[in-house]
Amino acid sequence: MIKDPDQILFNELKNGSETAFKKVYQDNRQLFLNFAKKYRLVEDDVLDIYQDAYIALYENIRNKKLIALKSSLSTYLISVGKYMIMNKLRKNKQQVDNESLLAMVHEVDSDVETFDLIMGELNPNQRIMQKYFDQLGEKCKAILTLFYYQKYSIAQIMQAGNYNSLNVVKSQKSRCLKTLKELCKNNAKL
Amino acid sequence: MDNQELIYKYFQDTLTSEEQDQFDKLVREDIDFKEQFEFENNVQQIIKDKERRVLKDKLQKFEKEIKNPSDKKFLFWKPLRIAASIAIILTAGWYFYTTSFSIDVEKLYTANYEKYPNTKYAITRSSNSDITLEYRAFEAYEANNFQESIVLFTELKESKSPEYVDFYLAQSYLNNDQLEKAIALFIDISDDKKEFSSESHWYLALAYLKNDKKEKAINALENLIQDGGYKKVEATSLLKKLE
Repeated sequence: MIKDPDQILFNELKNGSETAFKKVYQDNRQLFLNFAKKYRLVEDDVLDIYQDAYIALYENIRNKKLIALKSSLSTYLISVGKYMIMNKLRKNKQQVDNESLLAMVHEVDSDVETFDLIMGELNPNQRIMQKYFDQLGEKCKAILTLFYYQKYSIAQIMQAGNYNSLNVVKSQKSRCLKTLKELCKNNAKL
Repeated sequence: MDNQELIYKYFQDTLTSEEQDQFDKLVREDIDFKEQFEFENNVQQIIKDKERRVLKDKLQKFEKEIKNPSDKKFLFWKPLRIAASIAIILTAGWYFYTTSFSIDVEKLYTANYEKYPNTKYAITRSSNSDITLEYRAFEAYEANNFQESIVLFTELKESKSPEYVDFYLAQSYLNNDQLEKAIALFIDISDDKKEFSSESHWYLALAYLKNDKKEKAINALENLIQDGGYKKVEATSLLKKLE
């Protein structure tokens, strides 16, 4: 059902190819802008939404929520984008006097309903924590990113980071978390 | 299962539904568990935010390249520039050689035609009750089974007719070599300023091309370029090759 080039690009994205990351963005940009026209949003907003939708799709490919393509990449992008446009329209309530517009976007397409699509901003507490996160060593940042963002298992981290055993990874990970926790606590006392 | 293992599985998205219940209960009732989970959840949010910013920066760079394509040429290293000029001369020579002897219309068609993706209807495995006419039509379309998609889109057009049905029906005709029908539909859509009208100009030109109506194809491309719509760059380059 899926065209081969799409499958190839999908596999390359899964493996983190930069070239594919650029190509898929460029190839679907015009299609997305045309699709979004009917919602009458400002052009800058539409581009912003396209980028967020693209990032969300990319993340769900990288963290293996999307394991096999069931539709084309562009179809997924449109589904994610639709969901994000809906959120945007809800925020700009003044524009949503048009009931039929809202009716077009009232639910998430089933192909992306399992995706993580929330692109929220950090709360003030998290923003402070982020500063301390930046103070962690590179090794810690890497291991935590692999685990919490890429959703690597301990075994996969062991392989990717050339660690000797599962236990080394586990204790390294908890040490990193502990350091971060302490950094936060010490600051809270001040 | 110990509590740490539960949190681990939560972040790996591998909790079973029973474990999820146990997890939810602990979050409600065990303060230490709740605190540890919230801490790790914050870590995840922080990292997400950082990584997304990196990705967003990359995309904004791509945008700049798309909007000012000329910026890039000053970056070329001189020998590369010379090599590029030679390459251009060679390609131009080849171009004149091939175009002055024959314009292979069919090749131009295949080089430019790309089936318009299904942007309308999400196909996923679902229960039988969800399989509507629309579902079957788009399923056939995605599977390149155009004879069937023609039948189904036509049926759909008779029952309820969202604007886009015409467009996908026209695509199906075009792929099934029923060119007169495709052309008639594309003209209809492009005239009416309906959804997909901009796209239809482009496909109308391609349909004429496939049907060996060079003059009409040129005409359609000129209209498209004037409107500045979908595939303008491709249209300009195709027009040059045809003239």
